[in-house]
Amino acid sequence: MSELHEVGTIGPGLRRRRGRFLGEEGIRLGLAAAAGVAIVITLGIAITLISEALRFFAHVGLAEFLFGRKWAPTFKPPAFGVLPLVAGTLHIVVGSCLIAVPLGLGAALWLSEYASDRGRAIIKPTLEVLAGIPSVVFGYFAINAITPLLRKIMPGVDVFNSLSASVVVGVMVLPLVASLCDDAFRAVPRALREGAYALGATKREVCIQVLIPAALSGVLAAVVLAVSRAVGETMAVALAAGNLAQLTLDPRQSIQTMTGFIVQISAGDVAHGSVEYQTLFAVGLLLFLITLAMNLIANYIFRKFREEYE
Amino acid sequence: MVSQSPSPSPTAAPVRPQAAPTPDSPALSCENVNFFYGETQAIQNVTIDVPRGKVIAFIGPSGCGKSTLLRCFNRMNDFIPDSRLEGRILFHGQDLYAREVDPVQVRRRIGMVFQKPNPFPKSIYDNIAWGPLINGLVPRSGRRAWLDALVERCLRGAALWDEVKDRLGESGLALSGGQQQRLCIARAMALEPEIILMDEPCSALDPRSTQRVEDLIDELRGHYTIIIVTHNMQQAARVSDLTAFYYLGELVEYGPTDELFQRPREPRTEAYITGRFG
Repeated sequence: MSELHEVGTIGPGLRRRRGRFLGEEGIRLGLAAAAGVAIVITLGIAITLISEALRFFAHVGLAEFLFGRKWAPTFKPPAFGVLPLVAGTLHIVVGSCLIAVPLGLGAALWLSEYASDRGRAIIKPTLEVLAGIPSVVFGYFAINAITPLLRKIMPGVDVFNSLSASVVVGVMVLPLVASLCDDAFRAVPRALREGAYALGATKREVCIQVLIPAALSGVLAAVVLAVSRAVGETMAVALAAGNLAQLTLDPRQSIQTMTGFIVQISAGDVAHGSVEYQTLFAVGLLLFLITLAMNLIANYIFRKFREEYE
Repeated sequence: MVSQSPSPSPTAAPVRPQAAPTPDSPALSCENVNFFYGETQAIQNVTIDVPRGKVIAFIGPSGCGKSTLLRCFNRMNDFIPDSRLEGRILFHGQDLYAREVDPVQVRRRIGMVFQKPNPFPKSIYDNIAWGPLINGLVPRSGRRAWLDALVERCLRGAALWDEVKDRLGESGLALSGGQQQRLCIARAMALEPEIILMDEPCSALDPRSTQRVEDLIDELRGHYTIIIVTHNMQQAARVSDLTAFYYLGELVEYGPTDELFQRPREPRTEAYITGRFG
């Protein structure tokens, strides 16, 4: 007679093996921890920024910070109006987008609609190389190549000026705009192009009247991300635009951006815990909020317009 | 035919009738047409005359070249790199592939409806108005009235007017699949083409919508020459006057639909229509 298993026991082949269980759990926990690091770091940065910024706002009023027209935190008497820095950042954003958006859009249209496979195989990797150049190299390039050129063709351009920085930041974000717009155009169904061509549309009409409207979500998201990059760009701007925090509309003059100020103070010798030191965090928090808002807007645009199209 | 850019050159001559059309002259005729995708030959020496004002069905198993041939008629294959056409396709006696012919002008005269409805992400009204607008057909004065009349005429022609007349401003994408396909037919009609090519126009539609599109094709008979590619043999039998059966890139048999379905001359045609392959 074969032995009967006792009621309530599990056959040996079905039993949970301890080693295997631990291995699976270990992997799961390890992966979860890897994913969690991003959250912990983000939270840590946000908390540091906010707590140090709050200490700053104990000394300086929020209204004075946001609406003051003079920025001189290390002077006596100090002035804490952030507007000149915001204006400097806007210089770079507007200037660089004026360069990057038309060029990027054009490059993307050419890549997705006009380029042969061969042309595409050359331009696409080139754009990626452009995107991979370190920003400090761009800054150096701006000072040594673009600024001298600008000074030759335009009167009154300072050695450090926002125009040169804008040009170079425009070139830096160009690959981002081109690549995102290219993706957006290629995501437009072929059937839509064919429908337009079948009605006797020319390539130009298809591009301008069918593709761009259909890919609008991606194009707008690309523009917002470009703005976000330009707001956050630091090294090239700090090198090329100088560090004169002033409210001006003239792109031939030196300006200072929010990021440029942070570099200047971080590298300098302000006392830890002083109000000057805390300005870093106030400006950093403002910068963080602006780029966060930009990214959220990009996301929103992308989803909203896409829904409309699908 | 390796043509990357379908843009018109300003000097390209429009398609002009060279021989005076007579009621009996064909709407379109192919002379020894061969078509290649790279090394692969998709169409083998096809010669066919498409008579004016009739509905002609192209049938055959998948990959037999029927859609490829259809797309040769309005030069849609120009967009396929490394493709090439030999032979002549005559429209009013003019070879559509002659050097001086502008493909944009060809497509204005020979309309197309696709397998999947592809309305533009524009309003119903603009879907129809767009073709005449980009082709400069809208008169300078009284544009709005002209366009209003055109939109109504085309939508009525496509049996869609009553369903959409109160919501012309809505997106064409908001319509059902069958309505979208009729909108695409209306859109093609807005250019008053002589020929409308339909590439399996009902394959993405439910039976009810298919019925309506078929009814529409029946109404358009006589006003337009319609060439319809279909996988559905019943559909070919229902809507067409003439049927052409293709197999492996060859035109096997071509004749009046009744005859082809009831007394096929070729064994391969008989095998296909009785469902032994394909």
